[in-house]
Amino acid sequence: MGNPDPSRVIVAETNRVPFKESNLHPGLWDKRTALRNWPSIILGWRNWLIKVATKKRVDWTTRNLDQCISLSLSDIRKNELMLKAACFFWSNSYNAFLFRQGLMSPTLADVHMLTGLNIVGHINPFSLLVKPTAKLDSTKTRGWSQYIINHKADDRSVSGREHTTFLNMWLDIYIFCGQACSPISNYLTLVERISSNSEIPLGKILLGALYNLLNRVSQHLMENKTIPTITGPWCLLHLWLNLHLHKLVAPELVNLSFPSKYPEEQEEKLPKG
Amino acid sequence: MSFGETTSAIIIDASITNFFKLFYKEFPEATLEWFVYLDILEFELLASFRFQNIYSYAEEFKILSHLVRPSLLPIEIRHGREKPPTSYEFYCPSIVARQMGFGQLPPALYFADKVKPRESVNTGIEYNRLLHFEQSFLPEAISGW
Repeated sequence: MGNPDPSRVIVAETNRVPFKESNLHPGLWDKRTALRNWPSIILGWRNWLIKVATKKRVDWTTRNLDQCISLSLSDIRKNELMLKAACFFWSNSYNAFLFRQGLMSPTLADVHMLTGLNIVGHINPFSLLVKPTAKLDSTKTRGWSQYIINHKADDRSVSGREHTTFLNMWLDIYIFCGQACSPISNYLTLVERISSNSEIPLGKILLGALYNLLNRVSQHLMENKTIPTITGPWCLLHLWLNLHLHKLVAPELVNLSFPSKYPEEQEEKLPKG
Repeated sequence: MSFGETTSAIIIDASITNFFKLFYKEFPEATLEWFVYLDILEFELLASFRFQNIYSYAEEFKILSHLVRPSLLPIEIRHGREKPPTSYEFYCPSIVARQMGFGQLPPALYFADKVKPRESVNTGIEYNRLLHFEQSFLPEAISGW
């Protein structure tokens, strides 16, 4: 395995993280826009989720999506300071944080345990870049609430198209934290592949997106450039940091409860799979 | 409750200075926990995976083999004209082995000098070649251990 003493490599890399390279000016983060992509409460989402779950919960469980879809109801309070500080320690060679106690990084184990998404298998991303069968009519849609009204059927049945549009919204807002204020069809092909029983390692795609996000941020920091809106799965990073720092505020994880501010009075409880 | 649901409830109120101190000076000893996935029975974890069962069940061993294996993670699967090029990120779990409950080895960059980091990939055939390389190189990578 080469030189077993890693200290030289680690010291060299330590001098390359943004904490050492950048001027550490807080103004590097654009106050209004840098971290604005955060899943917000969208009118109608919870009702739609419950409706689709009554018909599709079993499918979601089979494809390891159910845990992660339920997480979309969570009202995670964004801790911008924690996210910003951590980014200064990201090493783009190791794809890991160079903290004092050693290298730490979100791994596929973290993705699997925190979100429940599938991490088994391989995927060629070009297979997801073909044109989707479904099409979204963007002219009729203004904002995500309108998107829900347009695509949620009034009756109890859930058509294939309704399921596809539901998952498209879930992926864009709650998984990849996209920046679009109005619906886009970026993930329709991925959704269609998931719906057609393909074993998609969505967890790998998510972790790749997180590494890519951190590398883009660290590049901006090292060049002392103002950080614009950078989209990516900030929520996953937030969950991971919370998990590793939880002993600072909550010694026992089991004593915590699910934070959801969605109004519950209008709806029945979530069906169990 | 799952780990994801539980951790989404945590709120750590601290100034940015304190976060810098935390990351730069080391986590306090009482709060540093490398392996966080202890088997807490109260959690409704995935039935398919528990770290404690990796040697008992084939399905869990299969998941483990993907967790610990160096691999390429795809990036940019979105459509759109102005999207960045499709590429990949390196996944080298051995550098954070302690997070999965193992002993720590010296960090190794498996893909260094073999694949360029974050290189644009223009066709599916090119990406298939990378996947083939990823599958074939692992025995060679660990032979020196």
